[in-house]
Amino acid sequence: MNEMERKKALNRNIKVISAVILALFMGIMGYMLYFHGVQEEEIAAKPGNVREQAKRNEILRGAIFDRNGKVLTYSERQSDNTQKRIYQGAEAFAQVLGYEQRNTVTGLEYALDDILTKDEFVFDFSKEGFLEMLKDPSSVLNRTKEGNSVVTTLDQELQWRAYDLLGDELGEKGAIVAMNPKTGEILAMVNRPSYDPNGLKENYASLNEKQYDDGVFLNTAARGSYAPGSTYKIITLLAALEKLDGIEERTFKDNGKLDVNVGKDLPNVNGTIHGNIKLKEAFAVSSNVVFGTLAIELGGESLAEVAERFGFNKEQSFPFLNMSTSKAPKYPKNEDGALAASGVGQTGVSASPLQMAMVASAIANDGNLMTPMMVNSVLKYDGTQKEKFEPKLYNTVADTETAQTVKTYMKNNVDTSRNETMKALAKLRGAGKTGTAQDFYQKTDGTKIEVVNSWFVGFAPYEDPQIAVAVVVLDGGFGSGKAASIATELMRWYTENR
Amino acid sequence: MRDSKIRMLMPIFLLTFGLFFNIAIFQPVFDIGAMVMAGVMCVLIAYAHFVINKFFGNGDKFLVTFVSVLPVIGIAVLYRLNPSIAIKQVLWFIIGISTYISLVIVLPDLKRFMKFRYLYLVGTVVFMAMATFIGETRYGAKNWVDLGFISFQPSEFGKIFFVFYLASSLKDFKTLKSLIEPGIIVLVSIGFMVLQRDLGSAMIFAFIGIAMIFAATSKVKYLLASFGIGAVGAVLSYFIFPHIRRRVMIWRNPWEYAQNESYQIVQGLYAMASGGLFGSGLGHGAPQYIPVRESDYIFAVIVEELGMIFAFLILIIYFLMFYRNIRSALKATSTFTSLLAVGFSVMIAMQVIVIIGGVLNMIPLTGITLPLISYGGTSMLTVFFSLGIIQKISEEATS
Repeated sequence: MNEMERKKALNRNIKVISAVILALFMGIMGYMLYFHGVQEEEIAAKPGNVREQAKRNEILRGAIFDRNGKVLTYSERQSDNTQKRIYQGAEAFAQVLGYEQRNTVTGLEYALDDILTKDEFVFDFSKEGFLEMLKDPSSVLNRTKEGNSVVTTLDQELQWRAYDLLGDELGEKGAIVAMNPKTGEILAMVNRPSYDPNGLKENYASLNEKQYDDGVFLNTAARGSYAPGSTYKIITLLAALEKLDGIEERTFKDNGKLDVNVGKDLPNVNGTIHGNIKLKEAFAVSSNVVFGTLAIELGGESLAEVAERFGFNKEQSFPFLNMSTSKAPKYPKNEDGALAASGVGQTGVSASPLQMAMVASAIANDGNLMTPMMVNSVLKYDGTQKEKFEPKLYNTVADTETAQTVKTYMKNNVDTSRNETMKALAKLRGAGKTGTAQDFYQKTDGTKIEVVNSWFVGFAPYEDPQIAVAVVVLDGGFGSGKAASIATELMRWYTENR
Repeated sequence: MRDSKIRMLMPIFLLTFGLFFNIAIFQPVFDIGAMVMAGVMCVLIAYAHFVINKFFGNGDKFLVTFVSVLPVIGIAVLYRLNPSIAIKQVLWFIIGISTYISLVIVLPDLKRFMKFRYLYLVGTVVFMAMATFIGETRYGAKNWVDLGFISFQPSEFGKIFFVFYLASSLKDFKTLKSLIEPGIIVLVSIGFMVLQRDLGSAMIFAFIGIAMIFAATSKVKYLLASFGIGAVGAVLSYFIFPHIRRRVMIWRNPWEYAQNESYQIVQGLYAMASGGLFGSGLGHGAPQYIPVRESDYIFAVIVEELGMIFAFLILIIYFLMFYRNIRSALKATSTFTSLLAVGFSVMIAMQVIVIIGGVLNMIPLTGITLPLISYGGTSMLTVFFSLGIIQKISEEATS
């Protein structure tokens, strides 16, 4: 091989090597694109990224107010230039408002994060603005950057009262949602047991261990899911009124137990025999036999269709508010046991307290279900309004006439009861439906026990509904007991004081 | 001719003053020092362009541009990180570019150097072995030698001897027998690097060796054999050396060890992820959290503050530089000089790929410098020396 040939071969090889190097460069560039397109956002947002933390700290996080302008949560500059978040609302607001600490943001704080951390200051470029700045340059240069504040729809006092009405042990704990049926504004949303976000740093580990029923951190009022029991009869009733002709005039024979072909027979609570009753009375005494019968007549599909108008079986998320998906199963006619039970809010039916408050609201508002809302307005750093949120119609769940019939039935429930609580509620011109639901409860050690949850959904006053509530008390027992008295007390306070 | 030179200079001046003006205004008081530095570099770059184009117009006219742009970017970023380091780096830049120019002026025809094969062999072995015996450990690798008045990385000089040795021993390859000696030298060199825990350099030596052996022999079976030996060696070292296993472990799972072993990688990833396409702007990022930001990790600082697009442009500049280098290799009139050019081109290109790939966590991270941009005198000098040789080789085409 002479030098010429050798060089020729060498050049060919050099071209191969160049192609390989080019491919490697392209590979690096391709990976950079992948990094930018796929990984970047996730990595930048990781809690270990100190940059994010430093950037957040530049702007003083905005405050959260209740509907009447009372401060619920705010931030304070510390001497070391960090910020401290102070939770005035404490335990009563813990799950709803959430917390912001180091790398974790939860609840409403999370939903509002972009708003609370944005400083809307813009320099005034007019002549006056310049003169103003020349007079006092530090007002522009050294001003503290402040994020927007948010005015929620919550009512601090109502929320605190609601919190006090629940307790921390089984039989007293649970969740409450109160809303304005005409606007969808959420007035109170409470969970117990709770924790004090002010001492979170110290208590986090021990709180995290207590995982009873989804743990203390979860906003069960919106994100829990429970069998709604007899409160679900409101939906079965609405479906029956709409779809079964002459149902109001029909007389049912209630012998204490509904016999089914497949599955378990459906008894009344305590096996009480109600005899020959009409629909209105059946609703008032909460006859499982009658409502189980209605469910079988209606069929799973058409019962679920009515429930879906309220938001069941749909992933629902409202502005700044997430909720769990409520379930209304569609059992076929031949599974009549399950179908009957689903008509009384058992066997696969599940809902959050918020969902049931929406049911009460929709009926109270003559069939117009308003979109639940948590935030009324956003205020800039200087207190001027930046954005206002208007009530919106979510869905029309029934025509006015049918809705009003359900309304009178719910009023009748209260009026005909001999129970002391119901008598008190009748004085407020309240309406509602009790519920007792068999459910499961997970203890801290992980074991599940069977409990009987006590429910109440209702509204007041009947003529001009101001407030609709849903209350669930875990293992609150049979009858209208615990949940109803809490709901009554709340509605009493609200109608008298607001 | 004259016009084209000026046209090449204008964008470089713009970039230089742009970067340093940017740095100067972000300081509380306008930083005149930054502008002075930009001025000094512009004069230097203009001078280099003038000399290379005016007196050595036969050679490559574009290489000098790349050789100017990359250090300017590096020095600007270093100045933003630590002005005193940037001043030292400017000195190294002056020394480097002077070396580059002097090589072109002083060196006679390079073909004369092909006969010193055994001198190169001894040089290679001495420099590769040096740090193993009298070295000190920096950033986990025992690859520095401190002679009291100066400290340097002997393997950087070793690289030059290594390429010269391979070029002279492979230039008239005939049979497998003639491959035995160079093969042993390659393995010994890599072996010393592994012993010194300098995995980055070990990889670079492996790539240079494979590329040059393939270029000289045109035998695919040798190529496969070298890759085979490389793979076996890599697997063996993986099982023998715990620090190699750790590198692989943190490469596969950087987030799990974010507070410990992979702290550096993770901080680099945060920095790059926070930069986005356009970067936060010089002086507006937070590179103080990135370890070894001045040398190995300077690429992460660039992505954070100057952005992904700018980083892309840097990669393109590196590739264009590689292209000019390879062009010289193709046009060289002897196999010896051609092989020299190939060796140095591959050395620089692979260094870019290995360190950027490592910083991106695309491949396991091995600490080596980003040529011409990272802080470091030895590395700067080595690269300028190699490029000076290539510049000299580029004259062969027309002479």
